[in-house]
Amino acid sequence: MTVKEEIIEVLSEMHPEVDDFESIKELVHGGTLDSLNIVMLVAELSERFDIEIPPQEVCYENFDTVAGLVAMVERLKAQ
Amino acid sequence: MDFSITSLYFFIFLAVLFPAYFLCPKKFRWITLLVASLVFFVLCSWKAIFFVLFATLTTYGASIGIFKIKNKEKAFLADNPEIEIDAKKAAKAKFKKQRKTFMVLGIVALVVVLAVMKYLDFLIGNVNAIIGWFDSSKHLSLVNLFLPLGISFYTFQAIGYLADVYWGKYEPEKNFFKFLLFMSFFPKIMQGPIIRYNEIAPSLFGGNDFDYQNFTDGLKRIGWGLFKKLCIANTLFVFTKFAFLDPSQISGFEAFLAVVCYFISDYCDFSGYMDIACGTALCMGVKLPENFNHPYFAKGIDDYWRRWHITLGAWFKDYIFYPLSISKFSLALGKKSKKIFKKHANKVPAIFGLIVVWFLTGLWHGASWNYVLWGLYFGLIIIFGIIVEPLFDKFYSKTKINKQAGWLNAIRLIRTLLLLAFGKILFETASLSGAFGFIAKLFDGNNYFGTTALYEHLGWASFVVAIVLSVAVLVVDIIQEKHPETTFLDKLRKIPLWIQWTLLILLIVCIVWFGYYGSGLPKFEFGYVVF
Repeated sequence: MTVKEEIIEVLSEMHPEVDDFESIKELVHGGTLDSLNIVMLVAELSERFDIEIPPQEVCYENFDTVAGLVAMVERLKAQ
Repeated sequence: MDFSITSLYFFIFLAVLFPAYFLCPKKFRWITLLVASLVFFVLCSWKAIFFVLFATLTTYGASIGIFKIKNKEKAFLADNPEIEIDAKKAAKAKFKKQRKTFMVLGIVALVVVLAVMKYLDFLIGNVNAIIGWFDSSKHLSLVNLFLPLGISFYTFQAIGYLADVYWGKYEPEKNFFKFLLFMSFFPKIMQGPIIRYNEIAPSLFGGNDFDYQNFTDGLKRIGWGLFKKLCIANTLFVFTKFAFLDPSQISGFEAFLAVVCYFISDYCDFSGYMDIACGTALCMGVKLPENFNHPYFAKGIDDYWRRWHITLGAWFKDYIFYPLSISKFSLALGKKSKKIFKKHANKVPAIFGLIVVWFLTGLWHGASWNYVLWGLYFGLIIIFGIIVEPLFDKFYSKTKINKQAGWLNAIRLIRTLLLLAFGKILFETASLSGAFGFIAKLFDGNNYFGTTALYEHLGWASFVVAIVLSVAVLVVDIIQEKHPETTFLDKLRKIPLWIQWTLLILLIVCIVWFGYYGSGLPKFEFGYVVF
């Protein structure tokens, strides 16, 4: 599974009613992800990819789109 | 001298400041704001100036320390491009630790001053309670320190700034006096909003040119804030303060009216201040963040707290909730609780963060266990909502009920108002027993419709006028709730000019007649000033 596929899998577990996460350009701004979802997402991504997501990474730029999440995970994995 | 922001002196102050700001060369306009802010401090509470100076010096020093170490790290890595990965990681960790030391020292210094000035008597009271269990004749004396003006607000602002600089969100302000202006900018000093450096800096230091629309919009917002505070909040407070202080003197119906009046006056008081603060800043082109978004239309307690005192909620979310909920400790807590909570264990870190946030929110609102209880009351409702949400989702899915149906939202709105009512009663009566006593009064059938207290303390005329005027606030909020895409002032500009002028004159007449001149009722300080 690619990073993107895993992220979409985690998001789908949280919001099974959403069909296409990639088409949503404002996951946080648009209200799909609330602060509870963000914390759950951080916990899940930290465990799956064995990364540490510090508080400064919790921002719209990283969490508003699937692409932002993928870029953040790949950057933190490389560190 | 009464130098509150509803006083005549304040408007003389603004009448001097506005021309001075725009006549000053563009480059030095921020200095005008700094001088005005310091003068404002001196006129309001000269002793408080030493506390804001201490907070500014501490935060400025720590942020520059963080910045210098960051530069050292950059220089080290640039000078040693061939360094091995492990050595590079070790060097980065060393520099990070040094930066963290500066941040922690800065935050500790800020929190210690806030804790001493605001919470020392609370601590002594608790120590006395413990001593009293062993020896009732001994106790420590309370120190009764004065609460420096705006200390909770600028301390939070400074902590957020230090965290942002440490996280590398932006570079720190190098000019000490500009930083002092960021800390002490007078419109937001008493009750917020809690501002963020990166959001406010461009308009605060930019030397804004005179803009007719900004200026007139700012004046209109000041007027609207005065209307809410002077014509509605102050009037209704006369009755609510009495009713909550001594429920034995009121009837059941008056208790009900007191709750309704408190909803109105609490909102008009705090949002009225925000209108005056935002309007004052806007006159000079400085855009403060909004602190309210029609909170009484919220469909849940969590939604309400995203609409009431928005910048405080956002501050707690960014600087307490996330760092705590995604910390190694919280995530480990989540993992360990999997055995007990199974698939719901992934909510444990957030629930832990929420409990701490609401404990602190309560404590922030007052140095007393009653306020902690008040904060935890809201925290527990939100946590309960998180826990039962999947059950409700299953229910909606099985029954094919549309989650967003109008009737369902109406039920949610009423439920939120009822939960809020208990929170407000708890806040105003300042104890759990007092709150339950007040609720018992709501259902006390003895002379239920008596209105002696309302008549004696406020008078029917003042009460009716305040309620009628509050309908105007309700109408504006309904319009904005339904059509949030433009501001109310934008909407106002689209109606014929003669109607705009009529409304404006009516507003001024109301402020002068019911606010400053006519009622003869006592005036009340803004509620959040004491925080």
